[in-house]
Amino acid sequence: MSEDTKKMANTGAHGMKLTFHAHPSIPSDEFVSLIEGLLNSVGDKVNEMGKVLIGHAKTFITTPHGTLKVNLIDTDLGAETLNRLSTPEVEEGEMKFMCVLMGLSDHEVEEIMEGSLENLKGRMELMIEEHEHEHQHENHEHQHDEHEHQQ
Amino acid sequence: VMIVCQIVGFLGSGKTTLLVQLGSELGKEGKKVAIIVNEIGEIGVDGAVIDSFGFQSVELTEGCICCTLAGSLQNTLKIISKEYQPDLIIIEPTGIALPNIIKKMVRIAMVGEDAMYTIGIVDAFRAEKLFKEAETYCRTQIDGADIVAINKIDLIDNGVRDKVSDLVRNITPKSKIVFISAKQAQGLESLLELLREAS
Repeated sequence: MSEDTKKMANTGAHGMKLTFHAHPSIPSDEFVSLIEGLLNSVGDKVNEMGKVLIGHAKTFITTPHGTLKVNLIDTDLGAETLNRLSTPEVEEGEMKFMCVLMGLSDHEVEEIMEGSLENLKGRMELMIEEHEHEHQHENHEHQHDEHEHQQ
Repeated sequence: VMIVCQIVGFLGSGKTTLLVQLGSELGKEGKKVAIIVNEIGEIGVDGAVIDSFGFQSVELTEGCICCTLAGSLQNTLKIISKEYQPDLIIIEPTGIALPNIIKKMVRIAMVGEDAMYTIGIVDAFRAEKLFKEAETYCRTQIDGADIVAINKIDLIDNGVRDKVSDLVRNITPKSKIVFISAKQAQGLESLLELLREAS
């Protein structure tokens, strides 16, 4: 197959894997709100660009005491959450965060995601792992390989 | 008997949720279910979600199995069918995949499947918006499906349900239509029957 459906669909995508540590630990309810805020922020940033969110923003978090899945597919509907955390407080864990959005480039999606992660930094330390890519940005060549890239 | 089933639908239509529900039910009945999940980004989320429900999925990332990762799909099918010998292989492609091409890729892989089914899934809550913004994909993904599952019926009223049903019927008149809420495990019986009878 020579056709690339990602190009055909004019879709940008980016995914990242992070570890996080919160000192002091975060009450579970607040943690869920923070992650829902992360996803809703993606929708807000797409809207700020004058576009409609058509696609999927999603995250899955694994902690020593359960998991949390939060999706955003429609800004009217807001973030949808499957909370399987079994602890009153969250201290550390691993987060997979990815977005596939129509009408945006990979680079735009990446910037939206990184901008949205800024909102978490006041409450937790984030370390991006397995972030390897080589692509051409609009105004410059960009190549990096960032293991344990501290945010 | 080995069945291959792809669950195809647009981004966010509920493919992973449906897959987990169907896999769980069939697993409880003693079927050996293998799962191949495809994500377009370099880091996938769905594989981790599926595995958290007790499955072991094979995740193919950074491309689409109907085009750039077609070879990876075929190799994975060969390995799974030989080493795991499942009753059922469920494939969850990306939300922008083209099912007819995947069907062809599975056939070319020659893994000895006894049947291949396509379940198309439509997000009823967003159908109007999606068919406006991404009509080509939405149409192509359900056209010719064995069953079209109109999902998220817990979020819509009967008027929307009828409109979406008419829309689907016009695109793929021969497909069976079922109304489901994958999240609430409602209306899944027809889909389970298809996979039970086959395997």
